[in-house]
Amino acid sequence: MPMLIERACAELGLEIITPFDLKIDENTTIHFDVLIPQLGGPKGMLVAENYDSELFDRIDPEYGFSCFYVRDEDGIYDLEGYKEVFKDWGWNSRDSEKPDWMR
Amino acid sequence: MQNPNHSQFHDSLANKRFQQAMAKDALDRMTSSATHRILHRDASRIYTAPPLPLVVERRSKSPGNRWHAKQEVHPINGFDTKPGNSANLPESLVGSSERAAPKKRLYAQKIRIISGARARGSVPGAAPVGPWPPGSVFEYGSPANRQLSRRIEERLEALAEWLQGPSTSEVRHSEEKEALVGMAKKDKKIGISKGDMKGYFDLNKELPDPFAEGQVRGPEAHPDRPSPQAKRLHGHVGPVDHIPVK
Repeated sequence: MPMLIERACAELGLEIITPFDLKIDENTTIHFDVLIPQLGGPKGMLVAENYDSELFDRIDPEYGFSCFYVRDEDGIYDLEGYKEVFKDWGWNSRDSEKPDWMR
Repeated sequence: MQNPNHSQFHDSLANKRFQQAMAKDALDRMTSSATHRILHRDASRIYTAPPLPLVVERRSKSPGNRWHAKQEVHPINGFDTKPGNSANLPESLVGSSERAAPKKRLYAQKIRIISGARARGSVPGAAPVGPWPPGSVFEYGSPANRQLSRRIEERLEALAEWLQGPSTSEVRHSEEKEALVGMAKKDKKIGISKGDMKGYFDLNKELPDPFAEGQVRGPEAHPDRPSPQAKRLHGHVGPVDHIPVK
């Protein structure tokens, strides 16, 4: 069953990579539920369930990140709400034009 | 100097009102054209009346009488007709006071004015069956047809309401949700810990009407936005944005 955020991305024409493991050094990898490459930071927006300050401080600053539970089967889907979230994260894609709904 | 929190709230409200006004404008245009289409969809039942319906009696003493006699245009019940007048309506929708009588007046059955439109000219010697405002749109037909028309109008109105959604002032949240938002507003002034942010997430799940997924989130940071608040660690609780996370 797709996550609600996947559904929102599909409906809004955004790329999404799920799951996404970010290697921060030779021995350390942080697991993220989602990477949305077109939003947040030059390298995209990461979403994880929990925040770990020790690990998150070491993330490449070209990534944006957020924490909330995206695998909630009882979660309430609200496309308009997601649009607001995505607008807040910001458009980073240099290769494609900002979609109308983000303006 | 206005409180910046109030100012932000006001801006957000004003923005929502502006968006609603734009949506309403678009909706009005859409429903107007939808009504137009419906009025034209079943031409045997609902008409947009072009010129004023006109009735010219056969034995009229008007100046046009001789001309009419020459034209020999008396297709319905022996009455003179001109393009666009009520005699052009289907006969099933046109009644006469006494079909057999030599002098009769045609009339469109149970005419109801729906809305305005442009009227065109008249025929010399002809009298309008009225009165109604110039350029009105009329509905002809049986009570059943008019009932159908009313139901269509009601559906359109319901659709319009549904499309517009509740206005900002009509949105009602549970007391718990209001309390959560109130708490977040207070916390925004002083900032919260990472644990508090998790607490907000858990509290939201316990609400009878929780915020949708993604509306309570954090800590987060996103360098692509120009505002320094976005680049620093912050959280969101429903309508309360950019709560500093220490």
